[in-house]
Amino acid sequence: MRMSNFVIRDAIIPVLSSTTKEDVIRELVGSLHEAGYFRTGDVDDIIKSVLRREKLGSTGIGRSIAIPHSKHAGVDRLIGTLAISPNGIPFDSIDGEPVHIFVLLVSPQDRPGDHLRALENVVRTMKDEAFVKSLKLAGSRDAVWDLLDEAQPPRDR
Amino acid sequence: MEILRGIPVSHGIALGSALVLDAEGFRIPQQRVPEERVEDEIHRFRAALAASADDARATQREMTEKLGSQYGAIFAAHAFLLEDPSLIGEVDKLIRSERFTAEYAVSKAIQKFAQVLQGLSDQFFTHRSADLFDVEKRILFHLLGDRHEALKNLAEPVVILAVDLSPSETASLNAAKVYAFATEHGGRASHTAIIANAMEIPAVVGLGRFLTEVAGGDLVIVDGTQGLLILDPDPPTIEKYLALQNRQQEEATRWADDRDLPAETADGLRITIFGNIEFPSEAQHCLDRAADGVGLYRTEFLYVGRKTDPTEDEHFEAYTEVLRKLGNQPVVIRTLDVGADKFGALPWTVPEEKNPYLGMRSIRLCLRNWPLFKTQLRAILRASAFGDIRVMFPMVSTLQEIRECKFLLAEVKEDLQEDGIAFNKELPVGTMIEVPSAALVSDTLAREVDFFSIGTNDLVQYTLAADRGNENLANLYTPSDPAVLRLIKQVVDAADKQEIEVSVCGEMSGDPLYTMLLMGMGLRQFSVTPQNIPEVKKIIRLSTLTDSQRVASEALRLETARDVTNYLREQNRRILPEAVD
Amino acid sequence: MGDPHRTDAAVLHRGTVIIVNPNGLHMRPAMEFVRIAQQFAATVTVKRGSDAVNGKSLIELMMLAAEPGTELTVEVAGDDAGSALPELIAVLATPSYDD
Repeated sequence: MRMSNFVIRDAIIPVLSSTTKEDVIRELVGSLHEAGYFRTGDVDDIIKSVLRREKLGSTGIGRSIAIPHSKHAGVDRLIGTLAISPNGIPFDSIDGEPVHIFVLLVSPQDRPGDHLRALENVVRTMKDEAFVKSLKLAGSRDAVWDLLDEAQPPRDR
Repeated sequence: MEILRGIPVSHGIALGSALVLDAEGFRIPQQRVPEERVEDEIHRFRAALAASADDARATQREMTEKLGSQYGAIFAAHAFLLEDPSLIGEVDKLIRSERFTAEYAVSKAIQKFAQVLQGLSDQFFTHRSADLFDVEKRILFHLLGDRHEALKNLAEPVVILAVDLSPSETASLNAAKVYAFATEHGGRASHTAIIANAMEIPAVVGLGRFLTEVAGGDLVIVDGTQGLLILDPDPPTIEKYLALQNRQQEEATRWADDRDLPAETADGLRITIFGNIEFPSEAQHCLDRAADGVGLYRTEFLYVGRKTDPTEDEHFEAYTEVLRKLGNQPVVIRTLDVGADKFGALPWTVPEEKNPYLGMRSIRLCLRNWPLFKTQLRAILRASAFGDIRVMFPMVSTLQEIRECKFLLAEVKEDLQEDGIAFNKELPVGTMIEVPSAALVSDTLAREVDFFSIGTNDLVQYTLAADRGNENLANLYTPSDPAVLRLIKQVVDAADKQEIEVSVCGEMSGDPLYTMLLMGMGLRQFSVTPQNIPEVKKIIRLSTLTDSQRVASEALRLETARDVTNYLREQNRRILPEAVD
Repeated sequence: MGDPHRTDAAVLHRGTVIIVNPNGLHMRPAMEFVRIAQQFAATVTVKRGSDAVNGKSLIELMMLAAEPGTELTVEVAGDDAGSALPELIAVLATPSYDD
């Protein structure tokens, strides 16, 4: 499983405009909606769900990365998006540092295995320092997509 | 009489009938039969012999066909041995004159011949003793047949003698039927040591080869305090040990009386003493010794010796069973701490590791197998709704690992929340400090966890690069080493600075030699094998904090492990003159 | 020709042989020896110096530990002793048992 399998190209945000946690999540979910996903009525609910998860423990796992996520009945397969903030956004990260790279994941309710695998996948892919650095410098949707597409998937089991 | 010296790993004295487990786990059930059964035994023996000889000839034909007659010849030889008039004569004689069971007689006869062969100078002939043992196995297999009872069906209590004991062998042991263990291999932290401590019976390991010297049913003495195994003891020795056993039982009664005295120094410092457990049933031992809770629940025993991994409910049942026994007391659960070889079903094949202790085990394994890890974490969180549960991660070597663990814990909390299942949102999360890297960055780690537990067994091992199971390195592997002491001090200081709790577990915490030192370095929580609680408590009550700090200060200045050990012994003797090391 | 009822029971047939097989009296000749010995009703004793063992017992033969150059004495007593001895001696005298 590679990130380009579930990240929606059209929803990638190469330069985020938000500056706060709640705004970022709103922008991320909104972007997926504009790319054709979610019923309009579900958008707010999904945002709330993602924020609820953040309360249990920030998904800012350090080294300028955050993986906000949620499960929701409004999707029938795992989808995600990737966004970059050049200035960094405070996110209550584990290491206290602002977050530059966000990967949002939304899964269907009934596929916990896929959800977990995707999360694990993102965590492991982001362990690659060089990859993260390139992402920060990408600048355009196409450039980000190319990086995702080329990325070596973590050693599959 | 032969006195063999090994490593004492669980104290106490036992005298009893030997049950010998060879590499295939065979056992000789009984030594003698009543007079009227002698003819039956002779018949059983002959029948087993005939069946074995047929087997051997069949194998010979098969091997000859497949690989040629020189390979078949080995089994031809076995067939000859199985029809050997000397062997048959010797066994018959033993059965008739001694009323031995067929199994015991066969074992004794083979032993006799094997010893002669092993005494010959020509290598070729000494190796033939292996053929004899092979033949013995075959005959025993036919004699025991499906009477090959599991160890849990022992009729009489026995002393178990083995090359080594594996988790699957001990998994179904009936504790009431085992007096002691003695093994050829093994070291202080071997499985045998852990099980013996859990069962609170004497054990000696690392004795070297001795199984050929003893037969099932022989009387043996195990001295788990001195580390001795005595074969064929003479009457004065038997008397001496019976007296010793009596004295020890008296002392145990006295300690039971002291049970409810608090673990408080003479100058009023209260120390928390937790117990270590491997199985829920040991929670009772903790209660019996008035422990303050369980400081280390080693959960890998839920996994070993099984073909499939335990389910979430099996985990949950085990954890809540402990909670039920202990009421309000804390229970610290350590997540799975073993290597890949212990698992029933992994989603990937495990390649042979050259250095399993430095390999894919423990927390590393869990972080590479999130579903496996999640199952345990879910059970722990569910159980946290029923009592004071705390979770702790083993073999942590980096900050990143802790963060990943906490991330996963948050995932599980989310799932439970969605499912409407109750759990403690403030579940205390701690980490073992047992890898030197973790000790060295403990100041950083202290900011991200709620408590530390210093795992002295592994800390000593990794710091001194000495395998704790290696009998040859027994002198190198010691908690007295200055390097270890400095690391412990560093960890305690880091914990104090962040105001988080820190406890010490592992053998060092249960060894009265180190109690004052550890208290003096700042430790206020000890997690100890229940059997050792009374002794540790005794030292605490006889010492003062002031003294302990002086001892620690001085010990940290010493340059060699030997100096430290001697110094500590001397200090202990001042407050406990009758202590025997 | 002799009396068909006359037995050799009282007569001991004896022969000595030096083990020349470079492996000594190892498994194959020992097995062969025992196989032949067991076919006869006669008792078979193998002596090495003062040690005497039952020639029909593989275990006992192994315990003799006869290396090359050892002198062994074979004693056979019984009805068919006469025919047994030469065969038994032949086995022990065989220089090599390679396949």
